[in-house]
Amino acid sequence: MEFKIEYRPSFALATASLEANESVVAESGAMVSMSENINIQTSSRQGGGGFLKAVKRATFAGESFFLNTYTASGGPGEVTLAPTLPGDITTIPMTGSPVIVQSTSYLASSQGINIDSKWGGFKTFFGGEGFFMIKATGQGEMAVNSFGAIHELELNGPYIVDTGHIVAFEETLGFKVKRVGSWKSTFFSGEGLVCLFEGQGKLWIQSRNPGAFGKAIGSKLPPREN
Amino acid sequence: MEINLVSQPDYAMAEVDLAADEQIVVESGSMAAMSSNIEVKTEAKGGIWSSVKRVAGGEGFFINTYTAEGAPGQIFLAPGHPGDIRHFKLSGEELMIQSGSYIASSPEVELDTKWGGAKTFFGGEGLFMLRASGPGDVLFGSFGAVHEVDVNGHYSVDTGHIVAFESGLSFKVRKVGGLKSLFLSGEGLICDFSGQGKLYLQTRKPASFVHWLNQFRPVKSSND
Repeated sequence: MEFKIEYRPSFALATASLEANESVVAESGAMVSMSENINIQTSSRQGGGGFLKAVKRATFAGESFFLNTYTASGGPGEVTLAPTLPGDITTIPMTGSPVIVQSTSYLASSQGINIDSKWGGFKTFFGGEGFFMIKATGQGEMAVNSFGAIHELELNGPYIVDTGHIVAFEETLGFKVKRVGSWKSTFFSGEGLVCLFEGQGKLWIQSRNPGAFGKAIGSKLPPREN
Repeated sequence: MEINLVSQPDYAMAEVDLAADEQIVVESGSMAAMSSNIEVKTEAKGGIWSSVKRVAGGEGFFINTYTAEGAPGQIFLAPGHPGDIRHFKLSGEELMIQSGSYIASSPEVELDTKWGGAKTFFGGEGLFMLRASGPGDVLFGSFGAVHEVDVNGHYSVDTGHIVAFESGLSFKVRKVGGLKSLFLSGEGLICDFSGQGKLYLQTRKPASFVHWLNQFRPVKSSND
């Protein structure tokens, strides 16, 4: 399975080329198009009803994290994938070292990669921002997307990032989520949560914060029922 | 007329140069700038335009005709969303264009909204497929980049990502049963194309973007 990324950096599209019986796993809703011989299976990987329900309550719109497995049957095939927001897609080679990915940044991954949404560390990232962190382990390739551009950093020492700008980071990095300002400003404005990284490892950030953009526009739209 | 596409691929505009008294038909709202001698008429012409109807949901499909009066003129066209524009020259074949993607066409191009398959694509989203027949020029735009596919056999597409396709392609729209989670917008409509022809896709889907934005709207309080 190979990922090809086109139309970078603003409206990137990922094409997964599959050999016969090969699969690609992707976030539900990401599929743009596919050849006729692709079979689809939906699952909430490692989710389990209990966890996902808890996540549903805590996130803004109850967006559950579902994964689809696309398999080419009887011959080679392709699936094209895209995220919701304008921005880029990049691939992260997975060589055994786990990578933590922000849930809305996860796009797709090869079969050998395990996606764990029950990962224990996720709770520290909550603050009403409407996303959570998942853990990717295994070997293969993972495609992640960004709102805006993707900026890769090689950390060596302490570094602070606004949580809304986190795309992914290697688990070799120690991290601690802190609030800046009062709890009220943290919960109601969604601002004020930063992540302090320590140690060494790669960090991928996005140049725009989806929550900030969403709030800027959404707050000016007519109210919704629920 | 001469058409030049500028500022591609993310914020494309069409620069159209009209000869004296030449006309161009444009979807209302798409004019960004124009020479001072260009006149606008919004009218329902007989025949062709009698088939243009207000689409359920309130968003009509309104057409303006721009004429370069007495001298050559220039007009810049830009669609609503960020993305690209494509210029298609019709000569005998027909092009199906998603209504929200249509930008402009030369006056001799016929636009038909009432053809048999027009409404099947979008499950009540208020979109439909326009059938354009030439000869003449057509301009259409995308939300995101335009991804071209040369279909030769079979190919399946999420309907929200369809911009346009050549009429030589047969199509069948189906619901992706039982996999509601597949599509964030909840629609779950896939179009299976077969045959030979060009298919234009957009790499972002307006319905997904709107659905994503919904979570940020204020919640109605009981006092409203």
